[in-house]
Amino acid sequence: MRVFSFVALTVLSFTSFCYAAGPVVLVKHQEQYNGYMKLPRLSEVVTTVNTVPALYWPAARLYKTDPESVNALELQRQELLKVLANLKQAYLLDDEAELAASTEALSQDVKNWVLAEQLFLALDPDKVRAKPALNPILRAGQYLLQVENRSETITVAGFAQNTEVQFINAADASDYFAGIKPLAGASSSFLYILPAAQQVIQAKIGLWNSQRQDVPAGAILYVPFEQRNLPSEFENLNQQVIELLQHRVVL
Amino acid sequence: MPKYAAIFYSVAFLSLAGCSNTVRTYTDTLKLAFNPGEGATLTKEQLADRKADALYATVGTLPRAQLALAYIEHGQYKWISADNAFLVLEHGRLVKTTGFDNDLLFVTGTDKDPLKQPMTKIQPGQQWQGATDWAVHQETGYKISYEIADIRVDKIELLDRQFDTKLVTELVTFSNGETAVNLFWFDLSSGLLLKSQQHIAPFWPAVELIHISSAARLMGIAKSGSRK
Repeated sequence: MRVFSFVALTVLSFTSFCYAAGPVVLVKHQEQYNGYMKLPRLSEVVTTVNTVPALYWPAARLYKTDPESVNALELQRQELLKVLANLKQAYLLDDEAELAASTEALSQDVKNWVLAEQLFLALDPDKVRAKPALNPILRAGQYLLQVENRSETITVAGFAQNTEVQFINAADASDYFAGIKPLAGASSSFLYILPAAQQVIQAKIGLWNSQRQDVPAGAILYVPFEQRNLPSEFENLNQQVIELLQHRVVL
Repeated sequence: MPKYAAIFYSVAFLSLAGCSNTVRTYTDTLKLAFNPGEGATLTKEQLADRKADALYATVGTLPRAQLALAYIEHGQYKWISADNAFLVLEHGRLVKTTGFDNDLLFVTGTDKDPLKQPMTKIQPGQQWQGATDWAVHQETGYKISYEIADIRVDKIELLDRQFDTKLVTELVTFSNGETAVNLFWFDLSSGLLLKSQQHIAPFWPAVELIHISSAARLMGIAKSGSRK
């Protein structure tokens, strides 16, 4: 009896060692949650959801959604909202009602953004499986993996009325600008492109500076405020918005 | 409630595999299978011994490389090179690359590809159109059109053996108006694709692929394993 319970206890403690405290990594994809009991490599995480060839990996985004990551971004958002509120005040004092209204509109938009820390990693399973340097072990925590079919729309943010435009094949940034309804004060010389999991690209679309820049599927377009309209204390406003926009989850 | 049920089931499933934590890869197979000499040819003995199929790939003027079949996933054959580049084929058509100067990321419209039919059904006049997405300069959605122009019987030699093949000639038109010719050689008796020459973009050199393990299998040299 004693031997039996000793063996049972050993077996039990061994299995409970394996199944210790629940998954260390939880990844949400569409409506599905995948849990991993040991820290997985990125290849495991992306391969698990890679069940159909139609998934468009060039537009995939991986976010860390834990409270700590989100809280840090929340502070960033509050900072930005303060700056926007101050800018609006400055315009009102300067009798620039339209520019104040544009600033307010962006402020409302930023308030509603869903935020999570985007990780700038290559996500294509074929790339990640082939090169160990592209296949890190993920830190413990919760993640959101966004990868769907090739999108037919491009999200628009910033000083524009539209929230999205139709995706156009073989088009460049100025083709998209033609379909955007800018708010008062928006730039007509620059557009910023935020491709999935990559650094921002500045597109030159003005009369004199224009240069072809394609827009990849799944990118976010940011319509900036024209630099000339920004008082010098607010000269980094566009950069500040972009920095937060990189961590916006578009649902 | 359903959300937690989903977590429970996924976790339960993954826990069963979790303790051993093996990732399903062909990496060990590949280490054994690669012949270190680029441009070298596999002997019949080597082909017989391989665990993973081989594909000869000649990209432009680069030396001929031997790729190994790393994955077959949802209708795509993923061939890996010794320097970790991938060529992804759907029914023999090159639809994606990784590890090259300007990778082909995606081709839309491939469900209409005539190569997806049984070989006997491929006829002149069949056409389809897709859009190609590229890594460099974020070039996305460039139109590519294909039309089967000709079919005829042809002979090719692989592994010291003559194969009777159906040669399919396909005209490719790129978005800038430039054109190219793709060639596909199918084994007449089995319908297996043995060889192809393909052009995926005006800025990519021609890619020649030889499905050498398929040839070996037709000759009874290789065992039936992963097959095209």
